[in-house]
Amino acid sequence: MSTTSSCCPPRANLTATAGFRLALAGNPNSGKTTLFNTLTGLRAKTSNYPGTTVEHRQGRFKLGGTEIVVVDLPGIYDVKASSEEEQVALNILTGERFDTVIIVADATNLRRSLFLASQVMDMKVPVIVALNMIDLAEAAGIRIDVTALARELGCPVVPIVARTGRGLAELHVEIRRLQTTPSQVLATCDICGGCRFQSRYAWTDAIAERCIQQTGQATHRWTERLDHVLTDPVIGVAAFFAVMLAVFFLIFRLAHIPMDLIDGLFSHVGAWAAGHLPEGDLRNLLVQGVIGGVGGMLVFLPQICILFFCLSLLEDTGYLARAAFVMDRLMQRFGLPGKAFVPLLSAHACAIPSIMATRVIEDKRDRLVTILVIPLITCSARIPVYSMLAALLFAHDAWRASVVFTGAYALGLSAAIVVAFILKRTILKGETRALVLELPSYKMPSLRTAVLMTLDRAWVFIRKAGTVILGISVALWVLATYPKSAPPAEAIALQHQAAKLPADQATAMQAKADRLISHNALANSTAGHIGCWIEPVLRPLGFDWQIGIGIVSSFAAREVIVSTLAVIYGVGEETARDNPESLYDSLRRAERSDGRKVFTTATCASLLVFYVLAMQCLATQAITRRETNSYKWPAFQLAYMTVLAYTGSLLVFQTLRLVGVA
Amino acid sequence: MSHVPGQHLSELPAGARGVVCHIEPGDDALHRLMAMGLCVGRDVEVVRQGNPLIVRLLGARVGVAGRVARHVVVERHT
Repeated sequence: MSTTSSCCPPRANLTATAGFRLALAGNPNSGKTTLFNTLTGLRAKTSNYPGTTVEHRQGRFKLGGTEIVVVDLPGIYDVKASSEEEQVALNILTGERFDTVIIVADATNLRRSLFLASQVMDMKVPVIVALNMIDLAEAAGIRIDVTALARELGCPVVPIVARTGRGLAELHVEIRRLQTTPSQVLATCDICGGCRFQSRYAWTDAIAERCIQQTGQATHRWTERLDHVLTDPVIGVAAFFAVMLAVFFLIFRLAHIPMDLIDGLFSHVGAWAAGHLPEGDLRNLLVQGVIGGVGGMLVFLPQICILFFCLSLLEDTGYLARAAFVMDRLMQRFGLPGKAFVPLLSAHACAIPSIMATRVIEDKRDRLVTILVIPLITCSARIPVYSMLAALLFAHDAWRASVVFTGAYALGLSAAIVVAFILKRTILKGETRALVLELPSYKMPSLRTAVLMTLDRAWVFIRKAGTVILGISVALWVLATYPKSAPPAEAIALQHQAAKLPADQATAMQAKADRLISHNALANSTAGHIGCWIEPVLRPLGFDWQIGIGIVSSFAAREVIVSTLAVIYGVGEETARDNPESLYDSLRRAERSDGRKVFTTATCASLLVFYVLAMQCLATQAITRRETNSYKWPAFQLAYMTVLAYTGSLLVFQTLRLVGVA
Repeated sequence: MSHVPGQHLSELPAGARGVVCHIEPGDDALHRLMAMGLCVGRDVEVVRQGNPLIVRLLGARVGVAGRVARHVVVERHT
């Protein structure tokens, strides 16, 4: 039920012709986003607010035949801008015309919601107060006199439960009323003198006194019990690692199923296209460049979706605030806030969703530093590269190979921490934002919100990273294909020989000829020339021109180096995929023109360090570009990581050479 | 300032309640804390002491870094 005050003078109705515009304002954790999702469903669009990195969500729904546009403002406590988010909320509220602002108030903590409400009301826009989570308030013994509250505030007040949709019909009625009948200017809260916080809170206290009855002391007992454990400096940290372990288990256990499906589907589509298109460059471009590129992009999606789904559920329960709380003290030592920890940890799965997840970090500089160091953390795309190099370094020795793995992970994490520490003292100088963080009451998460959030992030990834990956994979295909070269004499001779043999013997010979041709084509292509051209630069790291080609071709996606080396060293991509040992054996045998081995211990260690520290992922760069809203930061990220990787590899190779490990 | 009859928020034991009597300026995060309901004349309760600590403000629980809590002077209820 809802009540409208009748004591206010009418205001001209602006909504007769133009579309009706509605804004949702509220504190963080007030359930604003849940209400937004309940109102608009899938018809929402996320974009950066112009000139900022603050997200701005807009959706639509139909009410009584009229299209209503809903804007979800960032969650704020105060409209006096002390953060970028508050600035954007203020800009939208004052700069755009709204027919109604719905203030989403947390019924379990009405006084603080009224503090924000009073400030929005001062802006002289028609307001509806949605008393969200009224069910939790009732369960906690809080009784709110809605009629009295509406009278005090001079605006409609509607108790709702955004998660279940309770009260939504009444909210629609109030929106309709403002749509069709002249709306009211609000009774503003008369505040004067003193500290602005103090006087507003005195006002909210007075209203709360008259409208809220607290019966019993049942408030948030569960939250207190849980928090006793989960915010403990020792048990809390252990609990947090247990939770993240479960998330990672889900990612690595479940993601490979859709990943294999996507992989299989795209190889089928590729094979089908190869069979139905006329032979030639266009076919190769479509199969290798376009279909391969789209598949290579979509294969990231399952991890991104699972990670966002889990994080959204954890956030919604209120747990993520506790994670930031327990990690804050440790993280502050490295110049980062506690909220940076979950993104940094998630980066062990994939840097892309982690960079998107840095939005929770309030301070712009803290967030930027986190984004810049995230790609140093070992993501799952590095695993095939590590596996190859660990096998080359310590063949058939699982113990030493696992030491290589652990060392690589530790190197990535330490590099991220050290770089963050340095950045916070140099180009992004500034004190780390001190923790002031609400620990909301624990509650059941909304599955709907989690699903919508996941779809939203997935779509952002496809739009922003997908297009870049597709473009680059086509460009890399061109580099690796042109200029074309004649097949080598040896391959032609093999083909002639194969033609004279029976089919069963010819297959192997034909395959060998094919491998020679693709090796030759790659070596003489532009990518091959670049590999040769950069060899003098790479030689101090222990790399030859063939590894150079591998580095060039894996510029967009690091895991590609494995298949490139397979082509270069004549193993063939399929063999390398189905039987990695055969690739490792060929690599172990590979020799330079002077007869020395290519993959010595020093070269392998150097290459490992290079792949731990180098950027080598264009999708990440595209997301950094989106999340920082500038080309400067992805360029900086690429530059510093390249310098770091080069220096690291140089040090490792030259040291090992000096001590005689070659 | 020695005559201010209060203790810093960071020094109160868990379970202690009091009225905020003074906020020493100097940390940007204080603004957020004030918007959440911690300002002069209002009640505050320490739920968990430590760094960061947890306080109860207007019935909500808020985690606060020690270096912010050191700016808040509270007169303890007896």
